[in-house]
Amino acid sequence: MLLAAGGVVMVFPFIWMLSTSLKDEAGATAFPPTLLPSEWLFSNYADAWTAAPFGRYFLNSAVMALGQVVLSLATCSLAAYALARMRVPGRGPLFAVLLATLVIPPEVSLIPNYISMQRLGWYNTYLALIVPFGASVFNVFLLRQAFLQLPQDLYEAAVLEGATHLRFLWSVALPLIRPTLAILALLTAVRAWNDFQWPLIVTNTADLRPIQVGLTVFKSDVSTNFQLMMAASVLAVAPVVVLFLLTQRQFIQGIARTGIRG
Amino acid sequence: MRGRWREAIEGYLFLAPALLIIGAFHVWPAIYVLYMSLFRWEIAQGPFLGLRNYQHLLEDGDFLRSVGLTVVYVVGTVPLEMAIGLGVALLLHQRLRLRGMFRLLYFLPYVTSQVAVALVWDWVFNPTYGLANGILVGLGAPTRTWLLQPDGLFGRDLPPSLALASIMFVTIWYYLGFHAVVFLSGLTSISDEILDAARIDGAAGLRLFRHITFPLLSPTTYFLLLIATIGAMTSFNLIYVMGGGSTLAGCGGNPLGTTEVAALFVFDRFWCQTELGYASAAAFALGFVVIVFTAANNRIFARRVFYG
Repeated sequence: MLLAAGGVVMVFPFIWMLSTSLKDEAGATAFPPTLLPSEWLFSNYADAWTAAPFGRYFLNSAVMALGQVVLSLATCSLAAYALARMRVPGRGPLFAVLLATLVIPPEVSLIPNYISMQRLGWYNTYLALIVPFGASVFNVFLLRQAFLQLPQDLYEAAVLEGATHLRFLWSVALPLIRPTLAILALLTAVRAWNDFQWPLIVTNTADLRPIQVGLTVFKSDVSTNFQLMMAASVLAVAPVVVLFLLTQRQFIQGIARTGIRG
Repeated sequence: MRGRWREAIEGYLFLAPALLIIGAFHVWPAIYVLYMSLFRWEIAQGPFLGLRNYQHLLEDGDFLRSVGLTVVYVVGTVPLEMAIGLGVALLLHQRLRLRGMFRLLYFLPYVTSQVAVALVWDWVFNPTYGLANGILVGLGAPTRTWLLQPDGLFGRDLPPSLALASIMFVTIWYYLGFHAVVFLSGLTSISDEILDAARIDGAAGLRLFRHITFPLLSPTTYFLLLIATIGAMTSFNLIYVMGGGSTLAGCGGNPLGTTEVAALFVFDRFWCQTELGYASAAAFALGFVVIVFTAANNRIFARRVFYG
């Protein structure tokens, strides 16, 4: 019972968002508000979509999320494999130093990274949206754990057949740790899709702006058009919510296991 | 011998891309921010100031207030979101019907973007048309101005302002599902044998929880406390968007500074006032506190947490 009452409080804002997004202007600004729209105006979504370059915002967010996932999984898999499986002098201390850098809160990096983007000429480009997040200690750590759990015999068998490390990594190790890769891809993608502060400061034109930044710009443009604002918000959360509903078991287990707190 | 060399070189090549990115965009900035904080730095680098930016911080009423508000924000959100999260986890841990659905409901806010969520709550708290005031009217109570209200919740000049308190409420709503899910996985890992043994010895209900379950959960509790506190100390998105940050090119809003916590102070000086050197000093100070907090906690709790 308690749980159900709490559950209602938890989802109510989402229901309210959906309901407002389907009202007409008079309905949205009726006071006291009504729970359901008098007439279901799905056209609000089309109106919101064309009132700002949301298609472009979506594309930018997708490029950013996909770019971060591909780059981060590639760089981190290589590094994690080296740390787990290769005889690299100094890998113990190196790993310890990497872990120690986890204590640096990302907020500290904001201003210097902004300067770096200017100096590299990456300001307002996809590079600025992708590369700084193209590796993370967290992903290295979790991938290393996964590689360590693979049986040593596998590698020895592969070496006997003349496989190189790269070959073994690509055709044996990575396919075997697919569940870990999937969870990390999911978490990285959602984090990227929802990221706000970094894209806010490194983009200044609509053709590079991701959806979250676009949403705040939209808000200042249509400040009193609440039904369009809510329709746009629904569009912004929809991809992640759908992804979450489809993968909720892996997703929740991934969060519980890794404790990523966005 | 040659094989060893080759493997070492290959290993470093494997490590290079990740180390380069982590080094350039995560480690180097933490050093460079300290460098920047020693200069007057507006649009471009200016003269060397030594520690004068830090001296200025200690005399800056806005900064000191932002530190105080950060403490209020952390203390007002972390214990509550953890306590409610634990409560939800304990309820979900019982074998009840629709358990999966409830877990989903509570967790849903956590996957949605803080910007979208902040905009929805901004709408709920709208002083003229919002749902929150609609409910108050329905109850026959006077309406409030919520996110625009600088007056304190517990007294006119006492923080948190109603604006900050509303944001804290949303923060708790956003994160409690995360705590519930992590607590739930902690609960699941407590072995049934221990619980059964305790039950045979006559422990039940609250006593079972206090003397057995809660101590066994302590690694989870400690972990959550640590990352939630760090997260709250550096919290930005929800506070920024609900505090009116989405107007006027990202600046403005923020009723009389009563929602300007430390991360917002840094952002305002950096982005709105273009005082990069000064903002860097504030950012470094904030980061320093976070790092000291993390290190101190590791020392204190390492001895007190029961790792089974």
